[in-house]
Amino acid sequence: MGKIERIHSSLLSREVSCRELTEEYLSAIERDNSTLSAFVTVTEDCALETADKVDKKLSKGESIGMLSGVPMSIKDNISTKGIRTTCCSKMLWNYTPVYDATAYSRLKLQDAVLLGKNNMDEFAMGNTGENSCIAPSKNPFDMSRVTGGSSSGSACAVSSNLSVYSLGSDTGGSVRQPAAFCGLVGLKPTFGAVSRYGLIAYASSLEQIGPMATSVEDVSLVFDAISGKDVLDSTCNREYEESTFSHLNDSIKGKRVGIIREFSQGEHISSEVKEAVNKVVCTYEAMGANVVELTMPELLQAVPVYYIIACAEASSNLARYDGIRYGYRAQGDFQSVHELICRSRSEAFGKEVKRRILMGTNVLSGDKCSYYYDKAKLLKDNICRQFARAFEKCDVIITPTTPTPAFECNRKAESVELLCEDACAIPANLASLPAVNLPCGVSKTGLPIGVQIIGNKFCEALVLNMAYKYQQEAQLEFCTKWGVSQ
Amino acid sequence: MITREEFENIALLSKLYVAEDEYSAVCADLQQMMDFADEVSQAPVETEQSRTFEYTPLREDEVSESLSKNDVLSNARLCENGYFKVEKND
Repeated sequence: MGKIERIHSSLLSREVSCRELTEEYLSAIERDNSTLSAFVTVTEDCALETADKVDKKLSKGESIGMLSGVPMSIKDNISTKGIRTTCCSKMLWNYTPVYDATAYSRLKLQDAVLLGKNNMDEFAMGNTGENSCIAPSKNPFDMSRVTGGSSSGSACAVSSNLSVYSLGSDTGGSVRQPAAFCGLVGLKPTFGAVSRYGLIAYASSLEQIGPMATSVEDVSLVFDAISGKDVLDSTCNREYEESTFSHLNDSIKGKRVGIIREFSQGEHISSEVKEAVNKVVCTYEAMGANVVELTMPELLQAVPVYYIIACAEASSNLARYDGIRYGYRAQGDFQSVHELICRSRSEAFGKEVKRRILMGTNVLSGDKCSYYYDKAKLLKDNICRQFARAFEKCDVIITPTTPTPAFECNRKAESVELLCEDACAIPANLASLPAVNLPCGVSKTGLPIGVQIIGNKFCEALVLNMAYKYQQEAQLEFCTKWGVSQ
Repeated sequence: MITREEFENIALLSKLYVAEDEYSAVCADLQQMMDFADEVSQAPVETEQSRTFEYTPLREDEVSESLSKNDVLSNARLCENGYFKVEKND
């Protein structure tokens, strides 16, 4: 049983009131956040108000949903009406949305208790958490190592038991990689499965909102709540007929598990990660699944392809920040509106955001557009086709989530090397596929190792079913810094 | 190599100022990223394959309720008489 179900039954049996539970989490945040920097904003009043509402419903004998009264948090690039949403950028430091993101409004309808907004890499650009305009989140397993990113605060909060689950966003691994580094389950849904309405845009064709939690059951329950058609996002137009939760325990006998040679034998993957992932594959085999070997050399181009497309889209999406309608405005005398815009942007955007805007503008300018951007789109299509062919031979694909466990902080200087850390995660974004990170081992130095399960489009139920069966078989104990999460 | 003139044009299009003392480092960084991106421009691609497109349905173009003017202006640093305001320089 996952944490959400346990909390639900404790609330129903009145073993604990929702206010008591919420206050416990708020106290833990008060105690630990100055060290961990998991939250950029704590929403105490909002949390207690919802908690009292849930307690009132319970005292009246009204029924409550599974997510009702469960304390949770949200990455700070997901809009929350009336609650500051900063993207951890000086640009949006005083920005308060006037509408809710659909994913949040669906949780709000179920009386989810919002504890606060999680720290992140500025505008979701980065994979270490160090590009935040506030202090970076700390990895609860080893403070000298990164949490991963860009959903750094989400991973830190859930792993440190400061929140039961969190919504992150994943453009090139930003849910799965921090989940892997912090020992969590993290799902990037199929592109179009969860509405992006209210998600502050970075690279619109690649990003999805996804849940991070300490068990497959919890991730499944949250995914079921936030997914499905939304008229406010035209790319999100599919209704799921059945919940993923109802399929978690399906038999996986005879399922075909693909392993990609380029990752299973790749030189860039550390030996202890390879070993841990191989053990997962062997476990599936022992459970009656059939292993299929695949070769997909096209995936070796995925990182530069992603980088070109993501930066191009970022340069266009972030052009809206002009310092006039909302966001940071530079002060002083200006000779022209152009100068006002340039000064506002130059003073408010951080280094990594500027790098990606410059890069994106460059690959879209003049002749370079066909040389880089159009070519990258062709190669992206090629990767999609290779996955489509692969899914004729297998039902899911297993790869490492990251080449190594969490690495040391302050590797900012190695910009291109850092990008390659996302080599295993990026292909699922390029091909719009669902993929989950599942903890599958611990390194010699005590750091979590993650395995990635990739499914065909809109096959979240199978991906989570496979993840759940492994979790049961391996009797995973999802460790957090302050003990096993029970 | 990205020339100074090219770089200044990219910065202008990006609406970003790059200080003189930062120019060399930022330009070198951009060059490094472009070298990385070159892997893509040199990669072979199956040209005979047609591009795959997925279409999203468009909604009817009907007027419906949206955000109020007050909501829209609520995050602007300066506004006046229901408009965003930009200071005029003499």
